[in-house]
Amino acid sequence: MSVLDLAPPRDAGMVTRLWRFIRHNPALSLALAFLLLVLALALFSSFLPHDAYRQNVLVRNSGPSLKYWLGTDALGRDMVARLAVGARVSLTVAVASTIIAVAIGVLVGTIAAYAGGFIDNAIMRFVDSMYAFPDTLFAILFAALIKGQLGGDASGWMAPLAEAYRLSGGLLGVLLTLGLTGWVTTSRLVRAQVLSLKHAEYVLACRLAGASHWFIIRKHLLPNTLPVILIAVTFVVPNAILLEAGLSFIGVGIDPPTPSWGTMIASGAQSIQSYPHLLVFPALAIGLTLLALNVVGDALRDLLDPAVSASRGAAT
Amino acid sequence: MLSFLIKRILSAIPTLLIAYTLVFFIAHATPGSPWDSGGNRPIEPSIKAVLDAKYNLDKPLYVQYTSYLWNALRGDFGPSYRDRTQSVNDIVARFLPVSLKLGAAAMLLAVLLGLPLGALAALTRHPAVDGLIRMISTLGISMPTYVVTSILIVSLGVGLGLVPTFGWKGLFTASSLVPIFSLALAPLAAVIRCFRTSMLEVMNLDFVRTARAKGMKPLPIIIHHMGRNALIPAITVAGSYAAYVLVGSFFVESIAGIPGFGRYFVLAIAARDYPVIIGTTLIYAVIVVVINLLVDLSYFLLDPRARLEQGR
Repeated sequence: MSVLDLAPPRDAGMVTRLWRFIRHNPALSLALAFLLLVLALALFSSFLPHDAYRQNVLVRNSGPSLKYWLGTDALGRDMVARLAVGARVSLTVAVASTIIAVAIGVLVGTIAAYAGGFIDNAIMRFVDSMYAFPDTLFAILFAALIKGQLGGDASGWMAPLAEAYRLSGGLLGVLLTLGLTGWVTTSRLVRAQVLSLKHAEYVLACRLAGASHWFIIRKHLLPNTLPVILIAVTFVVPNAILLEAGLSFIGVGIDPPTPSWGTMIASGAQSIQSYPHLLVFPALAIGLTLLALNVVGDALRDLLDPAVSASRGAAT
Repeated sequence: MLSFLIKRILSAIPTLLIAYTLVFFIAHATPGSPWDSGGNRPIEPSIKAVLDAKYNLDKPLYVQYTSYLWNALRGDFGPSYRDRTQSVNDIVARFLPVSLKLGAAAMLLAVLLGLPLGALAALTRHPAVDGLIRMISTLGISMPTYVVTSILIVSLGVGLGLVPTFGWKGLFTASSLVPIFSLALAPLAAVIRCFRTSMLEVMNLDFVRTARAKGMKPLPIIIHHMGRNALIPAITVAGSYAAYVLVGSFFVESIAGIPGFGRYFVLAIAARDYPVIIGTTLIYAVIVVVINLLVDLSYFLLDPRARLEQGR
């Protein structure tokens, strides 16, 4: 018997382990499959049989049929196509606003923790005040402000921004709103992590060896904060989708005729008695997407940090 | 305990001030004047000047900032611009009670149902029961209120005709069932999750084993020994939901047609009704602060250790 036989079996690769984890978790597989479907619909919405903007007064408010799988809305537009374009809006908002929000959160959290003292106190006092309110409130105020500034006839340096706002169908306003209000949780998580790393011995050693603050932050603190940042992303993404639909529902988000799940729910709610399918399908689309994202987020948090997922109740 | 109370109340002041400042400047930075009726009939400049003068809008912003704050401190939130016969105080008196009643009922439902379900999920040896309760809580945390409200109204109201699809006839009528349940679902799910986790943590501690070894009956152990200790995190979580459930959901109130505070807030934003926006946000802030204070005070009632620590 050679020494080689006694060596522990070689670790399975990252991909293999991940695949095994997914296969042994039926809820997770279902959730991932659903998210892939939504992604495919969003990416390939132009290949669907009907156009999302094409109106046809002859088939207004028709129920699900072979020709129109999920029926048509009050202007005779195909619901499947509109839901698919709505998915594109939702996913764009989710990805872009998460990047903005997480970037701000990481920056603020790192600065607060690394600087410490007065700066930390001032930043955290502000963060605590923001935290005292449900984000919906600030998001609505912010979105109304941005819509007011950019939605009308802007002049001077604002003119190109207003043009971009108009061209994006209100998407720009939603992105700014969610980016500027969504960073609070991330900054708290990152601050706590950086605080605990800051006094680690290897950081001290690095400092003594003459490394600059920027070098330490870039090479040691940020890489070690990555799991926490990923955990923050699992909270920020569903929240962004939820808030985008909420803002559009109230009328300060995506502007018609661009379809958004939120505006579809709002207009569906008006004909709830006669044409419930106009409300039920967009509601199901967003409900199932959020459910799937939460299931994936739960699994990701379990993988990354069991301690956080145990105390999750307080954070969600 | 008194010193703790005073300290907590004092620390709420900067929070409220920051909230006021933020909302004041956001509201005033939003372009357009509250007198624009929208549409193609712009308001006569001379009339606009008179209106501006009457409501102090011609004064510099910092004067408006301090004078509004001073009036608000004395309990006067100013007139509404949108509905000029009413003051913000009238509007609050008319719309807030509806939202408060609805929210209180929802919170009560969430806690009264959430604690037993959370305990059951933790204590049961049956994986199916635990799995079912966990599924309910995941569903409740992910589903937005507007989805829950719409699906319930479509299925119960339109489909089965059990509840009215729109409108509000008081707390003890069928019209309140769907809104109460939609509002309660998120806090219910959170309470279940949190209480389940903390019951699991408490379950194997020494004092529980001792109580069991003494021959105590299971139910008193669950209530007095485990429940009381596990309750504290659950109360904190419920408190974090209480504020927004109490003040009312924009979405639930709009879909179900309830004349509440949340719906009025959205209408006020559309109409640039500064005093209503600022006033409602301030009341919101005060309610959040008061609820947080109540949650902190509940620690003293539930946990003798907290009393001891503060006594030192």
